[in-house]
Amino acid sequence: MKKIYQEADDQLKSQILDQIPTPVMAVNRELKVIYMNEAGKKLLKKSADNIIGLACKDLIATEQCGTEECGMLRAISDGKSFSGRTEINTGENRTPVEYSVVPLQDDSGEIIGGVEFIMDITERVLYENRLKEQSHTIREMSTPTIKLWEGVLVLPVVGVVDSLRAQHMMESMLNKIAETYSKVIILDIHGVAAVDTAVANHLIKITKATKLMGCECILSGISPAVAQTIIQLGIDMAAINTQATLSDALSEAFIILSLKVITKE
Amino acid sequence: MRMFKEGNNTFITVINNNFIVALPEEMTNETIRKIENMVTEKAYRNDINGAILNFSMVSVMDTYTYLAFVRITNVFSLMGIHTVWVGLRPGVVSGLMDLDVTVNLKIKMAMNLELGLALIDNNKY
Repeated sequence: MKKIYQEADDQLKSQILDQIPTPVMAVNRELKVIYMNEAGKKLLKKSADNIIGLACKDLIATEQCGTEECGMLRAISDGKSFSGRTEINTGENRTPVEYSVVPLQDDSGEIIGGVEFIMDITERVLYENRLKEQSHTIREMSTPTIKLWEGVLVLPVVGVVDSLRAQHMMESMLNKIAETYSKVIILDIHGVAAVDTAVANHLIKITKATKLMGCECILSGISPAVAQTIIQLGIDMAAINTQATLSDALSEAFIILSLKVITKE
Repeated sequence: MRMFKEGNNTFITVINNNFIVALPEEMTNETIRKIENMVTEKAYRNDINGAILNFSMVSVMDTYTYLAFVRITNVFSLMGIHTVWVGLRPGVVSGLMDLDVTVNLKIKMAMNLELGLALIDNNKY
């Protein structure tokens, strides 16, 4: 009676494994496939006869196959579970996947191989790439360095200034200065809602960097609220040329460049 | 116009009593020391009133090199020589900012030699 129960139980287990929608594969210590569920067969488009007994690297051909980075090898040698991300190559197309490997133990607890389950993450990878592209576009849009006059550049800043953005602003400014040989750059922070110590430090850093390129940096668009905050925080902005509005900054730039605006007679 | 060539590919040109020092791409402590000695001695002998340090060939600069040149600039200033740094590349400047160097705002900087010479001439009068 016990044997019948055992068989029924085994059958149920194999049915459960076959009905899992993601591929599950087991290999022995020589990395030869000893089990593959239905989803795995479907992914590889091969029947069980063409899978069982073959080396797993011949079936899925990832970049890590045959190297020390093979997750299966690691799991078998360390006896610990391991997960990672890779791309499997089934001949016709490459599928980005996330995999988890656990060592396979027999009744006595000895490791006799490994079990790997694979998740297809094609859609997630597409989504991630799209997100990366979008953030790149936003970054490009958020740091436009514009030529305002011969030798005068302006960088209007809108939104929040974090260290990553400050870094991009600095790079964009320095490259534009090197390109145009500008002597004055106006950093307009009219659109920056809040200025705290971190933001002020970024701005001071940018000013110093432009100074090293031989370009004077004028900070404009400092509203009364921002000015009060800066003083309350005790930030020393004495080293920076600051102006209230963009037009004041432009007048200052003209003074630096020894230019004069006159009314036509 | 006179021209001197010293070891380590440092070229010195003299235009209108101004030294123009073209700094080599790579500088060791030894090179920096040599440049300092060479330029100060020559300036003493040749009635020089301005020096331009041309960094346009330099692609990497660490804090030590930066501070060494700040020191050289201060030495020149004691000797009455106006110094202008020219041609610092954007990459070099970003690197210096990442290293958090204390920028000496008193030193005059310019983007290219033309602007640098103009700055020195303005300082003279």
